[in-house]
Amino acid sequence: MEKFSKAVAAKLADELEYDNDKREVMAYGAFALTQMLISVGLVMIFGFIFHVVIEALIITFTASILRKYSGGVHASSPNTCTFLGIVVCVGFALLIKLVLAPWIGIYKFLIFGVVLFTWSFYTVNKLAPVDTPNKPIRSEAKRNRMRKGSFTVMGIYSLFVFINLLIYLYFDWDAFFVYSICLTFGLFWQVFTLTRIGHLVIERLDLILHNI
Amino acid sequence: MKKMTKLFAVALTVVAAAMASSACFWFMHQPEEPACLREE
Repeated sequence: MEKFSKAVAAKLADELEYDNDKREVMAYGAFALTQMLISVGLVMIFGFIFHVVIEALIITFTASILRKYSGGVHASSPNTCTFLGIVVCVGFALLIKLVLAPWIGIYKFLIFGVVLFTWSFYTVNKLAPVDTPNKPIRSEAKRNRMRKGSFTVMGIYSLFVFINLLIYLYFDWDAFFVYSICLTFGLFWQVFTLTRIGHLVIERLDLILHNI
Repeated sequence: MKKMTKLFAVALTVVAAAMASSACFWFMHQPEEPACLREE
């Protein structure tokens, strides 16, 4: 993916006679776009195979939108990232749809949801944003902006879960109950990647996948 | 053709700038951010 992005950027830079800085920026943008399209595409394909497209996409977008503001642990390569993304999103979508949603019921979910959201707000307040050596956050202003953004996104998620549950209760559409759980789970997963345990788990998985 | 190339280059730059203003890239991999996009 990185080689492809650099090749695309090099070709564009040569044709348009851009300098090295612009070439690097375009390579970065090309990589972002390529990885996003491949990741979302593969989640959709595997989601379609296992009949959990919407659920898997909800988990994907919930986690990745919050991740823009809160940061979190990273895989060492784009391929590991994509693989872990598919396993987490599709795997948990399946688990939620087939096992959790039929078992949990709305009342248990409300308690579970409140506890999870409270833990998430507390953890984000304590740890976010979590940066990385490849993209360090050095300015205090940016750090505050990212923290504020994280809280805003989590607030919006709370609202979405609430609306989904209202739709489920009013219209008796089971799918919206499943979507609420997926949204909550996507949030949980992303906040988990901020924690020390989350770091250890991802780093261990990354090492195992790297050695395969 | 050159117009399309320039448009594509602009689109990639916009994506890169949007990524640079965030804490993280997409899901779980963060490539090295270009020096000119870093907010110090």
